[in-house]
Amino acid sequence: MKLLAKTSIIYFFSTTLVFLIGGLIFYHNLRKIVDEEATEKIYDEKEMIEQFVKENNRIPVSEIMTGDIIYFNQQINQTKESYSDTLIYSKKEDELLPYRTLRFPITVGGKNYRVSISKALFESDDLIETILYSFIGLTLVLLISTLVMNRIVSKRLWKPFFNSIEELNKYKIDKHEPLHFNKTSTVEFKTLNDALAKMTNKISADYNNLKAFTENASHELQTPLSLIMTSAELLLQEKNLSEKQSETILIIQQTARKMSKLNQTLLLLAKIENRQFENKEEINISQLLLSKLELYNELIAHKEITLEQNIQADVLLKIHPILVDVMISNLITNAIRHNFKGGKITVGLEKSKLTICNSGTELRSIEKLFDRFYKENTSSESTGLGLALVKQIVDTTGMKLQYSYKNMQHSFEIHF
Amino acid sequence: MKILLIEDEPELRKSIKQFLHQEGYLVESASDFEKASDKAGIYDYDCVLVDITLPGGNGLDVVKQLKASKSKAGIIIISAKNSLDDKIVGLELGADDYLTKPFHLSELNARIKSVIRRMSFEGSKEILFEEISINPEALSVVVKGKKLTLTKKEFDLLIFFVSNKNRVITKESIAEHLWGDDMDMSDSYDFIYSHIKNLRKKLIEAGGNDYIQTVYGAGYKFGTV
Repeated sequence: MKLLAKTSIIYFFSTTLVFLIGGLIFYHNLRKIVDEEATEKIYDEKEMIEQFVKENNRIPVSEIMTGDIIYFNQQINQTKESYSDTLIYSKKEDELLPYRTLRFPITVGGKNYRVSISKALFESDDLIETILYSFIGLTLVLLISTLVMNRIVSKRLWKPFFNSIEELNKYKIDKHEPLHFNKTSTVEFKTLNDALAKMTNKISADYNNLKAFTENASHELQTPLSLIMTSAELLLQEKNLSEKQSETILIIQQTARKMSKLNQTLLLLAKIENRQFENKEEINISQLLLSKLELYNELIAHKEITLEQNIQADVLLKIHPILVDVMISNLITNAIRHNFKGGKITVGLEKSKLTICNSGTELRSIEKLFDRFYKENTSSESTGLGLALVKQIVDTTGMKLQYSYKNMQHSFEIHF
Repeated sequence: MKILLIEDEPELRKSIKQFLHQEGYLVESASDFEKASDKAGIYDYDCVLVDITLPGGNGLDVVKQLKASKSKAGIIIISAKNSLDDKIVGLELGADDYLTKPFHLSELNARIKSVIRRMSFEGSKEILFEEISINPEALSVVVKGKKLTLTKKEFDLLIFFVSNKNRVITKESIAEHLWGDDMDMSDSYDFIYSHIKNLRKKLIEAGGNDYIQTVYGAGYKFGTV
């Protein structure tokens, strides 16, 4: 749920509650005031009647016109004053309406009377109703308008925040571009942006240092490896070496060579990541592919692999020559290496798609296929870097790589 | 044959020097840019091996200097940098070859011989070994007056063998010489064997001796010893 929706909901419920309680208190107070007012008026009328009787010594007939219902009933005994709310039937409205009635005794010319004054309450009820409805209406309008306002204002206020998020999403560590945040006058967002900028700059610097280190370390390793190799080769020329000694020396030499290859591949990976192969050239992929297949022809024949080619002529691609060379070499050697004796390789090239399929056993874990140093078969001679290189090249050049396994066939598709 | 070896790493310099001595070359070495520049300016060499990263300067400047003084020496750059740019720049400056460290000494040997062969204008371009005569330009091999029909790979293999005669050559260095850096598959050793078998058969059929010996545990040796 969005922050804005959350705050809106909290705001909505809390204001509704406040208005509800406030409304009840308001209603209660209003009722009380109106009630007291009605009672007071009735007592005023009583006083007026008593005053009139005292002055004129007769019952007022039309002298006191208050709009209320006043009765004079002759009584034998004096009655007590009483006060009650009753419902009286109104012919005009055809319903029972609320009245407040005050009954009190009065003596006129030695005769006892009971006076009853009935005051209509429905008029003040109407008033309260009207006031309440307007109150509720006003409350609703206020609530809705504040919610809408809140939405609009919040969106505007949070804008720099969303800008920052968008900018962060675009950030790629290997593209050495610093973040550009929009200027904001909100202190919190300013602090956030500053912290983010500082953090990404630090990450970027660390990343570059690490890369430079990898490259230097890799490069420095080559000289001692050279020395091991040449020394071993010199030793191999010694006369009277036993077969076992020769074998041991050979292992030293081969291992040094392997290490050096591994090292060069890692260096290449680092360089690709570092985007040191940005100079693109128009490469004739068809020719390159054919020459590579020619190069590996013997190896393919040796494994008794059937090669099927479906290569469209003169397919061009703008890419760094080393990258495409490494990519195609690795895909082909991969297809040869992880194949059966007497298996099959199918190479297809179209205007924007290169497909290399080879027969082979199903992989145990497809997700790890392009991981560095991942080997399906731990005893295999491969470095486990070939496909990682392919993936890296495909990723940095904006191509797409798809892998699938069907009918005992591994299929690598590259879309460019 | 005189060779100038420019390499800053002392141990590596020593072992390459030792190897070249064994091959019968006269070797002088330089450990930094200044010494290299001096020697290249004063003496004449048949071949100069130059490392790019040197204390006090860049090996490519030595190449420039040699070319400016119209030296007749063949130039081979040996560098730990497997960078295409360096390779292109080096070759454009006039270097004859570029070898990336680490390399097989037998490969270095074959490259030196090839460069020297190409450099020698007066001398015959033919390579002679006992009854075998090879013409690298015409891609032809003659044994006792008979012309052999060899495949390109067999031809390259023969030259590699002759360049490294009487030395132990590992299968690995052969594989790399024939198929380049890309080929590091262990299966490839099997068909090196078949190429060698075919070459041996063709040489013997033409009436030549069998010079290809198997050195158990190590590789092959081509020679009379």
